[in-house]
This record gives sequence, structure tokens and C-alpha cells, in this order.
Amino acid sequence: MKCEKCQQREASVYLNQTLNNETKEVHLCEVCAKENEGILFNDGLSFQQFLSGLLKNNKSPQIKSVDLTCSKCGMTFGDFKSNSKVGCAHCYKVFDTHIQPIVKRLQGSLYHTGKRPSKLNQKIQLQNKMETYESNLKIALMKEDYEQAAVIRDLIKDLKKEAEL
Amino acid sequence: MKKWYDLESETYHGVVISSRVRLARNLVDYTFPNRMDDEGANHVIDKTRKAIETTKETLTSFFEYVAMNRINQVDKIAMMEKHIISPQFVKVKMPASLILSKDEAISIMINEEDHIRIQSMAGGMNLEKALEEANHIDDLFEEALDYAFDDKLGYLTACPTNLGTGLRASYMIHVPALETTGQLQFILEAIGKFGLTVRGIYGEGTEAQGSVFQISNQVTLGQTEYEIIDNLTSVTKQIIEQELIVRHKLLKDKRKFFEDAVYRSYGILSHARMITSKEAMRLLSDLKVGIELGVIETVDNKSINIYNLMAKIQPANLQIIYNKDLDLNERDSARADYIRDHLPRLIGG
Ligand SMILES: [Zn+2]
Ligand SMILES: [Zn+2]
Repeated sequence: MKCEKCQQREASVYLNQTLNNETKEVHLCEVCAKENEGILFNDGLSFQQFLSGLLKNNKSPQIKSVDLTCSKCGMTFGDFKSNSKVGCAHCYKVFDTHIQPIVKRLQGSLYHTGKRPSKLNQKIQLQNKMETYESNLKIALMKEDYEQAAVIRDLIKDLKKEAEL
Repeated sequence: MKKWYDLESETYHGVVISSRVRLARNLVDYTFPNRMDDEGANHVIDKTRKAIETTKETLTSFFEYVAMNRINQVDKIAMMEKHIISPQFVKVKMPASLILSKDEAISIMINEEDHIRIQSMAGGMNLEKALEEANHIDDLFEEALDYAFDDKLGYLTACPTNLGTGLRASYMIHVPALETTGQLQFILEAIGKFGLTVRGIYGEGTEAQGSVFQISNQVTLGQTEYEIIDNLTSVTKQIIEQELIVRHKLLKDKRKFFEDAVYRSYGILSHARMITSKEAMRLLSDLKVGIELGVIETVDNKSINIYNLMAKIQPANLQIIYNKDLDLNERDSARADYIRDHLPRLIGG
């Protein structure tokens, strides 16, 4: 992706900026991002400071997230950074890409391989099956294999019944 | 009912005192305790209690329920000294409760840092058994409650250091030989590479007393529960082996000095009229290893139940045993009395 300001260099810095309660992501190259740090952008948007420390030496895109707020518990990413606890399960979704490098550094991994709640596990398995069927259905339709498509539709119907049980 | 620490277990010549696992769980429909109001906290208490009471198993008579805001501070600290609850749980201000099995092996803290903290203890080297017990309680909760779980990150916890399995497994070990010869220091430095950590007996930042340490896993995500336990166990077994080698070397090279130290420790413990917990722990540690190496012989070949004794000589437990407030001097005196009454008797002594 090209930098949104100079339209020349590759964008490597992603910033969240808030204007009129709307948050949008801006993609800039490192040069433009540095130039605009802390000053008003020409269209009146204000930049936050860069997330320092943890993400500083990372080659991957830098992410700025002061205004990220969990809609369920009201916790901001700043709150999380100062007391190192999230406020609810939903926070992990909201802070997703921002919290990942921290988890990775603490745990050395981002993928759980241990125990799963059996109830949830069944749900996830059904979901995965459903996704596979749906993509198979698309392929069948694309190939105009209507016989196969009908078979898959029946499978989906059965699966939906199973899910409701 | 006998407490878990009164039962026989494989201790590897006394080096492994106990095994403990803790599972952290949260309910998906409530904000975590750090963002929860009293109403939410009470809901979580009710829901978890109902979950235990409505299971098909007859668990109700096996557990007691303790409303934490109805008991006094000394009782809370006494439970912490016995490792039934965490130091953090003593300080919780919002409605919180404890579900405790009668043998004290299972304790479930509701509204600690996470909604549910299931703790399971076993004597000696017995992590698998402790994990099985904790998993069993976890399964019962899961039948009735909706956990916060993510397909990738696993069990979601308030602090990212507990994500994934939510499992903290630990051994409490007694390693006086490694500590006196300074070898423990090297081991502690190497241990971080295995994703493990070593702490004093009352957790992070606390001092080790009587050469008793806790070794536990630091990483909770990316490994299965059994991988975590296997890793911890194999490292601990190497520490045990080293401890036993150094013990026998000390015994061979310096038997007279060693005998002298053990008998002196027994002498003070059996005659002192005032003793601090730090001194008591040091002397009990000497005596324990002396008995285990056969340097000093006790009636019925009895060693000392260090786990129980260690807890009972802490400040809050002493106040409960003697049923009154004790100042510093009175505590040292009560501690000396208690130890004299509970020391094993020597053959011909
Ligand atoms: Zn640019
Ligand atoms: Zn939240």
C-alpha cells in the first residue's frame, strides 16, 4: 500500500485518528509519519504520539491505538497498557492486532493447543463444517454442477437442524 | 476428615513437599473482576455456586461455601498462610466467595483476578492427580456456565500472562543442600530458558524460608496442559537429583559437622521459649533433612510434616490456635510452645 500523503513511498505506519467521534485508520510512510508527528495535519486531523517501546524496533507496520475503546466494558488500550489487565473477553477482539505482539512476547506463541470446552468445541466444529459446505457449494455452482450443489444444500440443511438441537 | 497434607505420598526423599495446579476461567457474559460492579460480582457468585449444586454428582456435602466479606481478616490471612487462597484474594474488596473441599485439596476462588480460579493440591510429586481433580471441577462448571474462550487464544483471562490453558502448575520443593552450597543460584538462572520460574513460599516477591521454594511454569499459551506439566516435572526431577547428590556428598565429607548442626537445631527447637518464624523455619529445615538422611532417628521413624508445621507457625494461624490476638513477642512465645508440642520424639532422646 502507498503512503496516503506523498502517494510515493510504501506505507509502513498505521495510525488511528479520531475526528468527530469517528475513528479511521491512516496509512503513511515513515518519512511523512515523522513529519506529522504531534502537529495538525493539513485537513485538521491531529496525530497521536507513536506507540513506543514494545513496537518500536518492530519491522512490521507500527500501530497507534490510544483511542481504541472496548464497547462492552469501556476499557481503552491505554488502560490496558497501564494496568496490564483487560476488562472483559471482548477486549481481546477490540485490541486484537495491538495486543498480539504483547502476547507473543509474554507467551512466545499466539495459538492455544490445550484443553477446549467441549460445549464450545462442538459449536466451533459445526461452524467449520458449515464453512466448508458453503465454499464447496460455491465451487459446485461455479462449475454449474447442479446435482452436486443439491447434495451439498441437503447437507447444509441437516447441519442447520443439528445446530439447533 | 483427613487433610490432603496428612496423606502418604511420593516425596523423593522429602525433596518434593507438594504439587499444585491452578486453572483460571471467566464467564463470557460478565466483565472481568477489575471492571465489575457489586451486582455483577454477586451474579457470578450465585451462578458458580448453582453450577456446583446442580451437578449430578453429590458434591454439595464435599464442599463448604465461604462468603469472603463475612469473615474477618485474621481468618483470611490464616487461609493464605495455608495456601488455600492467594495473597491477592485477601485484599479483594468486591463480593467474593470461596468454595473449599473438606480435605482442603480443592479451593475455588470466585472473583479473584478472574471470575473463577480452581486450585487443586496434592502431597509430594503428584501434579497429574492435581490436574485431573482441577479438570473435573472445570468440566462441571463448563456444563452449567458459558466460559470466555477464543478459538486461537484459548481461555480468556484478565491478564495475558494466563491466556491459553489458564494453567499455573507448581511444585513446592525443599532444597537445603543446593541452597547452602550456592548451587541453587545457577539452577535458578538456567530455569528461565525452560519457561519456568522459582519463587518463595508465599509467591512472587516473598522470601524463601527454610530452603523451601516453589517452581512453576511461566508460559500458559502454545503448550498443552500435559506438555506444561511434563516440562515442569522433568526439570524438577533434575533439581531433585542434584539435591540428593549434594546431600550425600555433604554427609560423606562432613558427617560430624552435619550431625552437630542437626542435633543443635533439634536442641533449640525442643527447648526454646521464644522463636521467630524465620529461625524456626531454618532449624526445621535442618531437622527435616537430618531425619531424611538418617542422621537423627525419631520414634516410629516419623519425619516432620513441614507443610502443616510451616503454616501453623505463621502469625495468623498461631492467633487462631491460641484463640487470641498476639503481639510480636507473644507470637514468638506461642510459636516456640507449638513447635515443642509437635516435634517428633528422638529414639533414646
Ligand atoms: Zn509519505
Ligand atoms: Zn472489554
